[in-house]
Amino acid sequence: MTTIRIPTPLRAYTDGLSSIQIQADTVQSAMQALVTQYPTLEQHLYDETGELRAYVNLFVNEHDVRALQGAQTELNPDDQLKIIPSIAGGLSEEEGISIVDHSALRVNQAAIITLTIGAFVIDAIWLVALVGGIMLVGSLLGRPGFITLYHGFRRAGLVKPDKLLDHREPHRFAQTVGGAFLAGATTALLAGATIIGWTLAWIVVSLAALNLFGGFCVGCAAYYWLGRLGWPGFRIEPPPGTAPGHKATHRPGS
Amino acid sequence: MRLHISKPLLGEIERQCLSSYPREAAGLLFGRDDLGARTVVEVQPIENSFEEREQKHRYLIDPRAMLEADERADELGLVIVGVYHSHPDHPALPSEFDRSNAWPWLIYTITSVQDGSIGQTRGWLLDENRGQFDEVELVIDEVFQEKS
Repeated sequence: MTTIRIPTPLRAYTDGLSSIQIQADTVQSAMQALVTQYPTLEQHLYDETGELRAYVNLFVNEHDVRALQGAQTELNPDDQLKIIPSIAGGLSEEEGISIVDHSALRVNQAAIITLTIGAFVIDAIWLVALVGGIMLVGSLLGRPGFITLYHGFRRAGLVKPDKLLDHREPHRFAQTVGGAFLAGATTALLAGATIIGWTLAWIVVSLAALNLFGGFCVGCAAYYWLGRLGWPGFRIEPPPGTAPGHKATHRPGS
Repeated sequence: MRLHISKPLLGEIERQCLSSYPREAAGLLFGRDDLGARTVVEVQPIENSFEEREQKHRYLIDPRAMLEADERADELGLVIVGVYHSHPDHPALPSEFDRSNAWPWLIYTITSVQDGSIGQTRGWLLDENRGQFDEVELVIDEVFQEKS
């Protein structure tokens, strides 16, 4: 008789038994005999197509049967056939919703507005380039460009987190477009096209202000509309209960 | 179903989740199973065996680690009552990937880590039809539970 060792999570389906004696010549016949004896085990061991589930592992003594002859591995009477789970999981960014700290986004917008207006006032092209660069690097890293400033404000107790269930990508997209506009503004200003350059910079300031004071993110709205036009890689639906571009309303745990 | 865990043990899990951020952390919960309630008496961090570049949103506890853990549980006179993992920058809600790969009976706790700060920890149990996770009441005890 071969002993089949049952892992803890499956013992509820074997009347609490941790090992079961079965007469079988191969791994396959042992497993068939096991699910015949305990039919409710089957759905947890095999998927809808009858294949062994991806995270179910069968070991004969200390050896994975995949390194032997698979299901056809022969069994001796004193062998132990062990069903061993491997455990996998994790979040799915493509399906799930993230926690986005809107307080960090607001500090980011305030920094963009203040520094870009400052650049206009003192006529500093380098500052326009710097703000645009920080935004683009932030997008590349998947966070608000001025996140370090936000962390400093938080440590000083000047701001509090405002965590909402939201998608990250639209905010990243909006920041990327803003950064690209400031890069364009820098190029135009360096080329002597002053009006075009400062117009681009003021568009960024206006849209950041609309987001900061009006709670409407034009870049996010554009992101969702591009998704609805069928652009690959863009989401179609904003977070539940909100329209494209509007601020998310649901909090984690609510 | 309730899962009892002491503050110090929950603290151990949270510290691991923080130090692994932005990658997912994982580990096993050893404890006792009584009718309707389980009690964690030891947590064991396990190395995330998923491919390095995927660890931001995936974890894997490989079978050899499970085999060793199962033997260790037997030695301690305990059982593996559950599995914990973190969701970096995401809520403590199970994903579809969590559900489709979940084992029955085990309680899965998920700890949310947001921008390097600890968020909620919530517990989940796969239903009998593998259709969904049901939330488990997480009871955080002040006192450390003895192993025996």
